[in-house]
Amino acid sequence: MTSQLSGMLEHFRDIDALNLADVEPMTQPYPLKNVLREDVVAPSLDRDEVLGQAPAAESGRFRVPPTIGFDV
Amino acid sequence: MQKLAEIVAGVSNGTLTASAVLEEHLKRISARESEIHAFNLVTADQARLDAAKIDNNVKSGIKVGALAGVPIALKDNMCTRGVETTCSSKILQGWKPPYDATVVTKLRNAGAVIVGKTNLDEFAMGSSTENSAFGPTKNPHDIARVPGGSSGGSAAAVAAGFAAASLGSDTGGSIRQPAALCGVVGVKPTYGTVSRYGLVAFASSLDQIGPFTSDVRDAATLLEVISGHDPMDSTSIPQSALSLVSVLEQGVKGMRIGRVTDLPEGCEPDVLTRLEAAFDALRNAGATIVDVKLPSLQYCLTAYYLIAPAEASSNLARYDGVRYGNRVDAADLNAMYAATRDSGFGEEVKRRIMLGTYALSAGYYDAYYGKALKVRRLISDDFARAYKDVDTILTPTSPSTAFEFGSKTDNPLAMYLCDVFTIPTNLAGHPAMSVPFGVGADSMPVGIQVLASTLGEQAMFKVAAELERAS
Repeated sequence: MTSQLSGMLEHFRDIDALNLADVEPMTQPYPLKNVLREDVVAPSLDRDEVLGQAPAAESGRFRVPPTIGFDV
Repeated sequence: MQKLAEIVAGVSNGTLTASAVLEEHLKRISARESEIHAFNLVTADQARLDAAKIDNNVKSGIKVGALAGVPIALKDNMCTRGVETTCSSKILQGWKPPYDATVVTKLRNAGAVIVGKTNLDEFAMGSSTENSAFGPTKNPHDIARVPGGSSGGSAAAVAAGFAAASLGSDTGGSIRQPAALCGVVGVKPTYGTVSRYGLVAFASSLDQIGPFTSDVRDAATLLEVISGHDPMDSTSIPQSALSLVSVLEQGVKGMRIGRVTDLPEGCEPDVLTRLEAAFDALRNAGATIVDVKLPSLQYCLTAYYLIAPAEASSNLARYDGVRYGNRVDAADLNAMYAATRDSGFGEEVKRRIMLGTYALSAGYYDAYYGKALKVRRLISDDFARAYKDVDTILTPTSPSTAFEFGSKTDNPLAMYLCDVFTIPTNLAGHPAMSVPFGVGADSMPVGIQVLASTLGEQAMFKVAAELERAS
């Protein structure tokens, strides 16, 4: 995979030939402003249904392996 | 095989039943699915219940929707509540979403009957379905060949008559290229016209859901149903649903059709022959063919394969073995992340995550991702100039007809080149669709791509309908 990735990065140098100094970057196709909704209570996902799909859950929360307090 | 329009008409007026239509499709699935592998999951039991409900409504005189009784397949990257949604990835195998995608809700409300979830390249990354963790889909026209991708299962399902229509998603050609290779119609609408809520994200600024059907009218009908503003998608364009069926018979007299004079090289001659035939057909129908130049087109592949992996590397960070999907246990959190991703993601997904993180990394951001965003602007500007002179542009959808399995898997760049004609549309956010237009030297289907400017779907469908009449 290393040589494939190098080959691709090499191919991607083709844009180095372009003069892009004054070009505005384009991050999205449709210039929408920030979108907010009315501040009213709406139905949300069922907690038990969501946690039921997690690899591990406990007491209404996602359970993960230790993040602190172990020897690195 | 029945078209969508015939099914809706028959079911609505009582000359057909949704249940009988469904059984015919299920029969075709049992006969051929084992060799085609269009589906990750066939939801026959639920489909039978849904079809019976529609038939009961018709009997009771309750009004049924615009897709009454239509068997529809969904690409397996669209969330269906309580029904496994895998993205053809081991990391999501077994996951049952707690909600429906907006398109799923819209289909159900219109009376469609969902028959199953179709196969794709893992997380929609690929052009052949060979990157599916569950094995490839075969092209129904020749099972030695790929159906295209990433929405190969959805294209094959329609081509094989397993469903009257299907939905796919298109990030760089993932609807149009498989449509071309399987000989069906496939549409990538303007970015923001179809809600992405519940579509598992690949590259959020490029992804768009669209239909596969066996003809242009059915595609127009289906797109009318699934389009329109959705408050659940913050990139949804605030406007009502598209109106398309009404324009299909208007013809192309007086329309200006663009022919790209600096089309990237590498297209097979038999495909170019069909493109010329398409120009002739439109000219005969009263359109004017106008030469246009799109000089930045040659840099599209680079811009796309930096931007899409960059966005993907961010989007796919959510598969960390914590909230959904599969986990490989390890002593601590970081080791668990690494083990989960190493075992859960396939090779192409890993390749793109690495490309994306590299393009976004501090030392290379300006040289790769930053530059790619500027090239994206150049492409968008090129199109804007071209669309001052033309209403639509015609190109091949894919540089070749369906290729054989394994012929491009060792060379990712060769596979990426399959998307050379479809990628520019996604970068610009424009609509484009593929229409079957004859066959190549190998008797496999050829698709012609009709491109239009932002929200130019009506012009695009007029041209597509004309090509269909001429084919």
